[in-house]
Amino acid sequence: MTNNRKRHAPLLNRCSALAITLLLAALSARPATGATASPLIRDVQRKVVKIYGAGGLRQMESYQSGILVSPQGHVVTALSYVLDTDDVAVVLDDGRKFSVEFVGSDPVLELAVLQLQLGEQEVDWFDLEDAAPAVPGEPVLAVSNLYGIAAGDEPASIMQGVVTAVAPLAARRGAFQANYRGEVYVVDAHANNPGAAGGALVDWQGRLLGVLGKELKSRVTGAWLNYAVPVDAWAESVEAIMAGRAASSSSGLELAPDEPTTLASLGLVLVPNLLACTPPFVDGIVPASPASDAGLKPDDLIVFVEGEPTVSCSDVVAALARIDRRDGARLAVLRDGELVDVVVAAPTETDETAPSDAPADEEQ
Amino acid sequence: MSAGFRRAARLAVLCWAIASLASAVARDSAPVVDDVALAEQRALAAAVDHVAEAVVQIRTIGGLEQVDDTVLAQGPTTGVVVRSDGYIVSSSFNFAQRPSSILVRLPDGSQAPAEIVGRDENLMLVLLKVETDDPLPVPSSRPLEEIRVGQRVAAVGRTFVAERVNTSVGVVSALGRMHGRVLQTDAKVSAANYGGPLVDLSGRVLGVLTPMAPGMTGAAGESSEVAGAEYYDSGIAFAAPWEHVLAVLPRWIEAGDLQRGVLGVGLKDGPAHATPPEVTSIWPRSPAAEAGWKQGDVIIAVDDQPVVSQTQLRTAVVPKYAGDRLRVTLRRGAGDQAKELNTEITLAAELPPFQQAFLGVLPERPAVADAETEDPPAGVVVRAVWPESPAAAAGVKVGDRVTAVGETEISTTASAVTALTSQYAGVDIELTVVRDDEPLTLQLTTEDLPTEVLASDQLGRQPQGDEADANAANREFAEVKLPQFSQAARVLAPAKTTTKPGLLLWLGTTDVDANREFAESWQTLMDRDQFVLAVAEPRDESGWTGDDLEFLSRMLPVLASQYGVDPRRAVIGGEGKAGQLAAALALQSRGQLAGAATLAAPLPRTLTLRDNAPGAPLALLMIATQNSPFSMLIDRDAQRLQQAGYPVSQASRRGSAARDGRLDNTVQELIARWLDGLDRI
Repeated sequence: MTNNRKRHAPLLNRCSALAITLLLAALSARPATGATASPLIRDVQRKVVKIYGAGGLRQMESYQSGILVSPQGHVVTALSYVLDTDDVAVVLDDGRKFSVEFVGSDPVLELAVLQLQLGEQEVDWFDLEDAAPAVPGEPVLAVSNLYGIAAGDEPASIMQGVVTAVAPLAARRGAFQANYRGEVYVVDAHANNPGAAGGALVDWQGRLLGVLGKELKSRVTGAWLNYAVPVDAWAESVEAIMAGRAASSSSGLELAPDEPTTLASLGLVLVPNLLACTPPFVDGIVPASPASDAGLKPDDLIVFVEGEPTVSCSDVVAALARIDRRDGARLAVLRDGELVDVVVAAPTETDETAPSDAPADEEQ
Repeated sequence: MSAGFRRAARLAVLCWAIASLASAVARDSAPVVDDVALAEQRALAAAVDHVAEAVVQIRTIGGLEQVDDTVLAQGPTTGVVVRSDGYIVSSSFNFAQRPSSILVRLPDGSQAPAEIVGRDENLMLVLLKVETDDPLPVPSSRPLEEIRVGQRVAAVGRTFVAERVNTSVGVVSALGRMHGRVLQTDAKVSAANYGGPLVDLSGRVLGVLTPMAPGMTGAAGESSEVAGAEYYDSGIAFAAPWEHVLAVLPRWIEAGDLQRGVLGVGLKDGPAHATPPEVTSIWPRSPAAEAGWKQGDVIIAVDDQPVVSQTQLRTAVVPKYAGDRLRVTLRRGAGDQAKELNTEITLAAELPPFQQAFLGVLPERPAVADAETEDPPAGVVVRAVWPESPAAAAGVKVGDRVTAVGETEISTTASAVTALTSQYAGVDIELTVVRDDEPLTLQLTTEDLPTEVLASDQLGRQPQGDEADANAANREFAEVKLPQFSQAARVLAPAKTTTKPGLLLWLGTTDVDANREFAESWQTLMDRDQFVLAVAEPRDESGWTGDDLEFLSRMLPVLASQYGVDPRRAVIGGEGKAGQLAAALALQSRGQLAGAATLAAPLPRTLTLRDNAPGAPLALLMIATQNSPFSMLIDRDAQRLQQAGYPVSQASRRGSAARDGRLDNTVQELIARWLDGLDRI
């Protein structure tokens, strides 16, 4: 890696001379302050709407945000209880208020598409064709009506930050379960607060990056997550809904194999799963099973299944379930402080005729 | 390698920043905003990319799911390579669950098992070691003196995805926080990057991110690994200086744990920033005591840096570790008498446990009846003098009335005990006694509580009536039951009590007859030494279990009030498993019991031993059976207890003497005499 850099250094140096010239020209040409940002931000704010609907009880705000995605007044927003009423109203940044028609929703992405009853009026909108992907470290703006601060003709609030990570959405189980499992932009601004869901994540050129999701806690860090679902993940589905077809999204949904691998199909017995994160130690091996053939031993700690880290017995069961049992399974175990790779072969023909979960199936 | 790394990093960053600016300028279709800020953030992203290979992902397996009130996340955490041969630094937070296994993902993507080398209690860090054949990349360091408040930084973690680091951006918001230990940043810091580096625009590491509680140093819970985690993503976050980590690394590797250092002094009350560090108390055998500090000394400099307030003193001392040596200048005396003293002090990891001061006086027990009829003269009358005690050396005599300990006037035995709890063993003290109506002042040096059990004639019998023996034959058992408990205790009281009796709560069996027989065998002793014997039954026939603890601890106050028991002679006892439970109860429930007598019973393995408390000191009598495999365990436990400040009397008996539910006479005699001497002061 170091070599690589050294090789490029002279070239880059030459570039930098040019760049400095350009930089100086740029700096003298325009004021390098936030003032230049405001036309751009005004432009973005015109495309983010305030949505009012059902709710109003404690911790169930009756408002959220949405983004305009077509000249016909289509609004993408979060699918939530706020929309559970015939009286959903959308207010634009200039105070214009519209009633809406519910066009459709994508239950996997938990997104809904509304259409403003525009009549003869015109609106600004994000062109989904223009949407950009973001990379970690990229400076971004989150634009939403979080906490319902903006009202009437006030534009949505903006927050600045950077993309912390592009990572699969791993929400904690429970009250805040998310159906979507695909990649999201994690940001370091407190973007996802009450009322923010449905707002826009944009780059500093005003291009739409994603839609802010509902409030979730991360399973990875245990902390509240600030994130947006990338346009790529939902554009197709939203366009389908807008065109009057059913939502086409299957991204982020896992397709279970026909014959998922189970502990029993491998001949593997783990320690009793008493806690939420009982370490996945092997308790026993069924004789003459794929596990015993592979050399797995009691007290092995299973730390990877198909390269996927497993921290608990439940993780192992879940990871195995994603593998078709006809494919065998690659595991890594900790044995006496050493990491050992183990390949468990697919069950033999005789086993396959009895794919039930009976491990005691030892016909000779 | 490090220098090359640094050079390459700077160059790369410069190039990136300029290139991105150039491209920003070149793009003219979209509105371009805030070029400088944007370029700076892009540069930071490049810096992060560069430090990334030294940022490893850590996974822990097993351990607790919750520490204090914090539910721990199961996700991976972050560490930074600190030495190329496999040393990795991370935050203590990431190991709060005490994992059974640790895996580190090395820069090449391979996984390696890791061991914890040690913790740094001051900086809340953990040092890990992995075995590696290839040298790991070590990031370069930004010198502490070059760190500026307001400079742009990125907080880096490797949690969400193994292959890429996650970044949040902010500025350095303060230096020398938490009494000079850490940097502060407003970047978003959480379990997503605890243990990861805080880096500058050129990818140099400023510090390691770790949660800390912004509260008072030394406050309860401050040392918890999860303290401060509730401030996650709040804009208040801390990083332990990388320079400091590098400097202390060799010592850390050698020592394992780096512990906090303590002086062992109490300081004058008042707001810490406005109150001079005046010493108001000195813990015995503490670093301060060994350095010759005295009450009233004022600390005026540490390592030649002037110290005016307690906050400054803390800032000088808190970043140091146990074993560090400090040069402390004291001012002793006031006005013209004041002089400056230079002392050397070595910080300790912990203070020796409290050991109650002992004078060597066995006080006369106030008669139960007299207390109501007439007011006895104030003071404590000496019933016996403990042989070879400070009191014996000072010439205290039987019949002396102790009226003051130091400057504290004594009216009752209880007030004498209170006066002594503020004193340590090994202090010089003035004892005022009245002898033949003449006040007399005696000098003595207090000692630790004794562990020997005195002979019966040394304990100073109090005169007893003649009827005692006559009534002995037909005294009756009382049965004491508690609501909600099926169990009971059978109680035998002395035939005649003129003073408050002691209490021996013995853990018996479910066999009521055996319990009776056991109790009856104590009759002579309970009359002589004036104690009530209660024999309790376990709930279950299989014997005593932890489930019985509640019954016992509820039974104690009932017995105490019913028989007017002297709390300084209320003890619990048992043999074998029952003895283990008795010891556990006594050690866990402070203040209810003055002691525990155990036979052939090592401490329960699961028991966490706390130091003896100044308020409610506890004594133990541990009797082992000769040639029993338990003897060695009991010896070791006795040592542990002794180190934790408990006076432990040890004895051994021949063979198992518990036949027919009875104890050997000599064992009974020993327990009775031990109990009789417990109200010593």
